[in-house]
Amino acid sequence: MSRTRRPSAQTTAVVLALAVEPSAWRYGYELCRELDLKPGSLYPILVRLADRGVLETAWETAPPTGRPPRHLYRLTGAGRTLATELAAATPRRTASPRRSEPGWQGA
Amino acid sequence: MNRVRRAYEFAAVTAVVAAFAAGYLTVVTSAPPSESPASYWTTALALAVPMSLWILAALLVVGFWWERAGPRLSTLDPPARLLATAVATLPEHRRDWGAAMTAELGEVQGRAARWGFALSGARAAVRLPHPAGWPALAVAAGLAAAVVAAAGWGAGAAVPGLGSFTAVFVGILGALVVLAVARSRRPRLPVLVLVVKLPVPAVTVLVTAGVAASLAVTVTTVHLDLREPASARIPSLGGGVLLATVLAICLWVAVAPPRWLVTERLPAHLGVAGALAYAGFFLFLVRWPGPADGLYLLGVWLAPVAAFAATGFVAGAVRRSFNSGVRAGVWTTVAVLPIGFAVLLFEGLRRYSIERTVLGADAGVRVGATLSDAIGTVLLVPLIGFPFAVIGAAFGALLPRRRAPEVRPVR
Repeated sequence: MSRTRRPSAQTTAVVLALAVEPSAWRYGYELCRELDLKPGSLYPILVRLADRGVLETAWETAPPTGRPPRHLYRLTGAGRTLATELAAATPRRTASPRRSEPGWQGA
Repeated sequence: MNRVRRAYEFAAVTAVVAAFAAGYLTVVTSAPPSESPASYWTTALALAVPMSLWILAALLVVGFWWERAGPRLSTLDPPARLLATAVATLPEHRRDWGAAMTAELGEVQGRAARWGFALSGARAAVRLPHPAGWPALAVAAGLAAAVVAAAGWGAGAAVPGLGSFTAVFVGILGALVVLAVARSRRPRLPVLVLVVKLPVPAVTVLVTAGVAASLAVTVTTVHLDLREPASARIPSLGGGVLLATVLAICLWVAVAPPRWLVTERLPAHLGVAGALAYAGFFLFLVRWPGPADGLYLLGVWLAPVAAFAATGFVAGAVRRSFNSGVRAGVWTTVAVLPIGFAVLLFEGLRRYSIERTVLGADAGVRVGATLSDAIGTVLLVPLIGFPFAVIGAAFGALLPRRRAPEVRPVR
């Protein structure tokens, strides 16, 4: 018998944020700012989603000179299905988890 | 000199001094109350010599490392250095995520924001989820705890005095297995993987045999000591824990070496050669008929210097690489501790059966004294020798590079 755990509020927020524009590649820092999440919370979520095949990752192909390529994220087909299910299960929830430690975001 | 480099050098020297200060305090506080204050000065002076060598070795390591990594590190601010250090600890299959966080930090503006991102990213680096999830780790940890408890209880019941020694030995190996499971892509036992990868490297075979022999002679010594009247507990709690820790770590490194130690074969081969040369030289000294005690003491001090300096220099010179020389020093340490201990204790027992004394001591001591003597002596070997491997590696790496043969045009 398989058991499906309900994703946490933060994971749900990340999946729904990525589902807003499913075909667009998103940056980690961009998601941090949008969702008011610290990287210490966001990256373990992204790793878990990628491990489960919900998230597709890629590296920036033409970064500006002197800057390393950034990591890009978007939902896979399974991720979009999950996003649809999560959106249906939480119709009133906004893509903004509980703010735990404010004040770290930069400009 | 670069301010960042000075900070690394200061940190390295501080770490060495702190380690020796801790060792000195341990020796002083565990000394009998009858010890005179003058003996504390003698101990401090005796430790000052190897400490100076270790400081020199630490400065060489920082210097050579800085030559390679310094230009990149100089361009990083402190938050970027913190994050780079944290993500460097990630296992291979998670390195991409470390690079992802490092790249994103480049987009964060403002000192406070950068510190916030780096600290939070460093926290993420140490708790990235395991591919198989926490249940696999919990099972591995539970199994390790059960084996430790059973081994400690069983050994303590079979040979009184060996319970804590066995529990620490098995406990460290168990902790290292759990750590390996945590860092692997899939749950697996590294030992089983290595057994499948035949042929097993010579260093693995020899170190494993050395650890097995060390355990055998330790059990024999404790067993013999228990037969003597008014026997105190041997090994002492501190000595037993120290010996168990050293043997467990050496066995683990030989069976499942970290990646940076196995990028080339030469250092491992040189390490085994250095350890065997030390053990052979020691046997020659103690079995050589004649006034051997003076030569024995000379061998105890000079043989490690020669073995470590030679392996570090040869590896460094062949590859013109400081890192190769340091790797050879590490392999020599890993090989010489179990092999040297087994030979020292075996020889001590043999001599005790003939003369009722241990090497370098008056007659009348108990057989258990051979164990304490062997532990103390073998720990001196890398303590004195390892800095010479680093110094040898530096000399070898700085030798002029060989010219490529000139290619003459064919007419």
